[in-house]
Amino acid sequence: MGEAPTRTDFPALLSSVDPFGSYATIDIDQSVYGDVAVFKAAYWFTDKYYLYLSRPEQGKTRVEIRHKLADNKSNLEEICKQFCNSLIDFRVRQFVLGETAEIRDKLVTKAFFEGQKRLLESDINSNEKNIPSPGSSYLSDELGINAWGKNDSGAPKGS
Amino acid sequence: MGRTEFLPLQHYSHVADGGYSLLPFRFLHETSGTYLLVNEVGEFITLSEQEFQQLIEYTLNPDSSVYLNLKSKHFLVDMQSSAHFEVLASKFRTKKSFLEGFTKLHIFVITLRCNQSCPYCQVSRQNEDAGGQFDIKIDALKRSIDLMLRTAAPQITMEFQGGEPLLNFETIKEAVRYTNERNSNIGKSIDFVVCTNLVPLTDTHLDFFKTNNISISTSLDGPAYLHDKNRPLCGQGSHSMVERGMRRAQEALGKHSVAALMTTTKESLKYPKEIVDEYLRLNMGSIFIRDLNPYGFAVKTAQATGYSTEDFISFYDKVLNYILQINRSGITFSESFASIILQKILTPWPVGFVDLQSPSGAGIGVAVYNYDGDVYASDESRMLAEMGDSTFRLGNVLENSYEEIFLGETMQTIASASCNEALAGCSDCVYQTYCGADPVRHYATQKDIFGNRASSGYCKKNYHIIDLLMNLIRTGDKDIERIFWAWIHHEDVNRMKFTDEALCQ
Amino acid sequence: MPIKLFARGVGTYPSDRIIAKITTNGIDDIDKRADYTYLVRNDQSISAEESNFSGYAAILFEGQSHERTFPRSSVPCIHGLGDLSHIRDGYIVGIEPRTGYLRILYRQDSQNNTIFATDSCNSNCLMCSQPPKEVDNSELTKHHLRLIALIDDAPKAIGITGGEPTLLKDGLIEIIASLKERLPQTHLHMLTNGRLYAYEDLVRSLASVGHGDFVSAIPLYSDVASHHDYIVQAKGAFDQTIQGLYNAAKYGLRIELRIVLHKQTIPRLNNLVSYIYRNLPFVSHVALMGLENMGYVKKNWELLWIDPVDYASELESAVRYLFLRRMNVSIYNLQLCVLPRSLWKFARRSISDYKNIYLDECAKCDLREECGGLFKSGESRHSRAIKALRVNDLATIAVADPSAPDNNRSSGW
Repeated sequence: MGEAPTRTDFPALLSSVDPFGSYATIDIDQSVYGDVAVFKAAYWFTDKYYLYLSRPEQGKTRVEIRHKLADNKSNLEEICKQFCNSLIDFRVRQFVLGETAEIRDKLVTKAFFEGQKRLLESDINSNEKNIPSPGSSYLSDELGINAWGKNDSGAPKGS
Repeated sequence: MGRTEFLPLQHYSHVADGGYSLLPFRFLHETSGTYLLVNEVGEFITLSEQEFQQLIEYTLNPDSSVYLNLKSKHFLVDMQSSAHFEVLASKFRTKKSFLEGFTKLHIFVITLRCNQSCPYCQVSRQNEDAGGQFDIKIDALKRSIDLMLRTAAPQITMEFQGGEPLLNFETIKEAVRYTNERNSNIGKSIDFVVCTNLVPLTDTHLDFFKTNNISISTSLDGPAYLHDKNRPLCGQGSHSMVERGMRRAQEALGKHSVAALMTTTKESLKYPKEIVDEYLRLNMGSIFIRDLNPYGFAVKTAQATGYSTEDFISFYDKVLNYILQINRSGITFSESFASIILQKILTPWPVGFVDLQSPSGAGIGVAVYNYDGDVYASDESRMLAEMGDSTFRLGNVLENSYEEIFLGETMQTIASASCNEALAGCSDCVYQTYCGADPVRHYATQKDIFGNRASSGYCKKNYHIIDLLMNLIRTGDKDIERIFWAWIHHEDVNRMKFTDEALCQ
Repeated sequence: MPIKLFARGVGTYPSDRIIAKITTNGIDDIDKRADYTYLVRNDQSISAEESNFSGYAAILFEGQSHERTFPRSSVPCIHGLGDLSHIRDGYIVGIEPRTGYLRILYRQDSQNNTIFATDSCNSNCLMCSQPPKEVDNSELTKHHLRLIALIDDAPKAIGITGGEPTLLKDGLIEIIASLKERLPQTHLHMLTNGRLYAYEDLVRSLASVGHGDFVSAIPLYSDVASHHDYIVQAKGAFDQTIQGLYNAAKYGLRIELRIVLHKQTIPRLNNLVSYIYRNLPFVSHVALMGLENMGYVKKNWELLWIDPVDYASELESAVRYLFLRRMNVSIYNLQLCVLPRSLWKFARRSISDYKNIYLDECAKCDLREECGGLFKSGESRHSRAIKALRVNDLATIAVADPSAPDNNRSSGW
């Protein structure tokens, strides 16, 4: 890490020194990594580093990282690279969270409040039609489970 | 005859357009490049980098075994069958069912007086002859018992603590008598435990414990040179007295009625093997490797007893390794914290351990009735109060109602930070399902009930131990597997051997 | 010893099915004769006097029909039933007087009595040993209740099977209630696919009968729906059975799971036992069962057959998985000589007496008494590993394969 701002082999990474010591800057494309992913990644670095997040221009998130302890000799560039990798994982986590948040709410609701509630096809890709609706009776057998070969083409009609 | 034209598998496995949906899970991108996935009900699976990419890009081949495995373990769902939401919800409910019935562990601080002066005392003691103002009063005791019996749980544990509770034995007798009398028409199943250093133990005590089916929990830090350093008894070492007490108690009450807790001090870190050997020598079947809590006198004497989380972790690793080695040689001996985590990872059953559950145990799983009538959300809450911070005081048995104490403002505050599902750092953590939340500890260490996970010792320690066990589960040999299941079932490791014993007849 | 449960003679009497108890000596009290059928042995001389036969439910004649003359009687008669020496006094039989068909329904000296609830089924499993027939279920409940009423000892156990017993719907509830009423001490074991258990009210009704010792034995062939549905040839079957199992757990019905081992179930066997432990830990027993070469199995041989010695490692790890988790697990229908020794203690003598055989090779085996033997249908086709075991050899094996810690890597938990 030099005296003047230095570009590293990482295009988005810049290191420099100010009166408070050396620090590194990462510029992040907001369209690739949403703010939540950036914050979540940053959170885990708050133990050993000071982080400052800003928006230098529309569509960009800037992260400044500096050591908490002046005598910390670990390489800031390495830390920034770790941060970048961590961003990827958190972006994927956000994706999975987004894809499953609704179903998770429904799961908790069903588990603790509405045991009888069924899923709708719009809730999730699944086929609840094989299971009788709550409250239906085996005597009327709305699904025709007792019929031989029901749902299987070429089967004889029910007995 | 029946329909003898059979339809092929494709007829049943055809997935209509629309592919699959993901079910909630959390993951860890491992340094080896693989991904560890864990879902809400504690099932886990390891995927290669490519499999993981395909999973989240919705391009997995529905006929591949990884697809079927993910579906079977409830990581994805498709149109070809129902989501088995019923099953998933029921599993989830089961995993969280430790909540049912509310508070199960009720701790009674019979007296603050103690005959020992341990430098790290987590309880903030008073001298043995300090006098009656540090003993619980009968009206506070009875009112506390009344409150305890109001909890919905059909099975509860009533624990007598101190100080050294045997210094106030008459009150223990009265507490047991009154509890049994009141419970006779309530009908709860109650386990009684006395937490004692065993120094004052007499035959009178043992007779009473035997008659009333009371078990003993004591403290044993290791061999004499370590134990006595940790727990000085005005002038003489206490180890020999603990040993004598344990042997007498084991003889009088049976091996399983005597449990021991160890506390890790800076001195302990040097003796991982010796500590375990001492437990074996004293005929104990397990050990609970506990780190020093940031409460009580421990904080004041941090220079003498303190160590970093990293120190503790490396100590824990050594102890666990040694214990596994012992089990491999055919001796059954378990580490209790590991057993708890293993149950969480490997079984579908709920595990309600107050220090490692979400919602956290404070107030919900445990209540502490202090000698002065105050009720605390946990033993740690009481220690904080002894240090002058009564943040987690729920109320007083002589002044407040059950509702005011257990559903009051303090309880609400604790509850707001007690679900790791909603805590920063925890919400994305792959091990969230197996871990817990501890607002009281985070308050004590970080002055914030929510806490900062990046610098939390609780987080670092639990993450490490869960990770350690998870890796042993995933890469361990059949002996490790057998040993772990023996611990989970409290079974002899040799009886868990799957060998070709001759036919029994 | 295998026993013939069926016989066919000549009958022309226009009456519906009769269920009655065998007597060979006659019953003096005419009023009690309605519960009995008089079995006339081949060598027995009988007087043609009608009064000797009046009041019986039916008369059965051993031997060939042309060998003797028969009394004129208003009681239904079946002749030419051949050798019935295995039928004893007190056995309960079903008789079709129109067709001359005789079936043994109950043997007081057997542990394997089963009520065949119906021949119809709503599934059509690839390996069904008794392929379903479309039958009219409307009269069956009545017959079964009659059978139960005639049992006058207290058997240890009775099975209910089919076809699919739940197709009798509320009739099944009546049958179980009657068994509870008449034979409260008798263990009741019902083979059902559990699909109709998906209706909560059926399970609630079954549970409310309050039979103290009733087990539903339900097959589960895969942890993934499509594979299970394919094996039972019914779409939605997996979903319904799983839902049914959850309903059973909710109402506290005891459940045994049955897994038939064949080429279609072996590949995911270990995923299946893991699914069972994680999702269905409440089941009281898991039975892993060798294939019976009957019914559809003969037709689907290529699709199904895999020699048990070739799936020993899958079976061993599945059993070990359940054993470590304290699940109650058994192996049915497989011979000790085809199993790894580690599995011997899980093998049960499971084959019903009337179709249980041993091969010539078995006569030389020192463990014949401990072994469950084979199905009669296994006589022609069985594992290539069938071989008499000698105690001396076993000792050698034990030395070569000590019960030392098994240090091979686990196959994943």
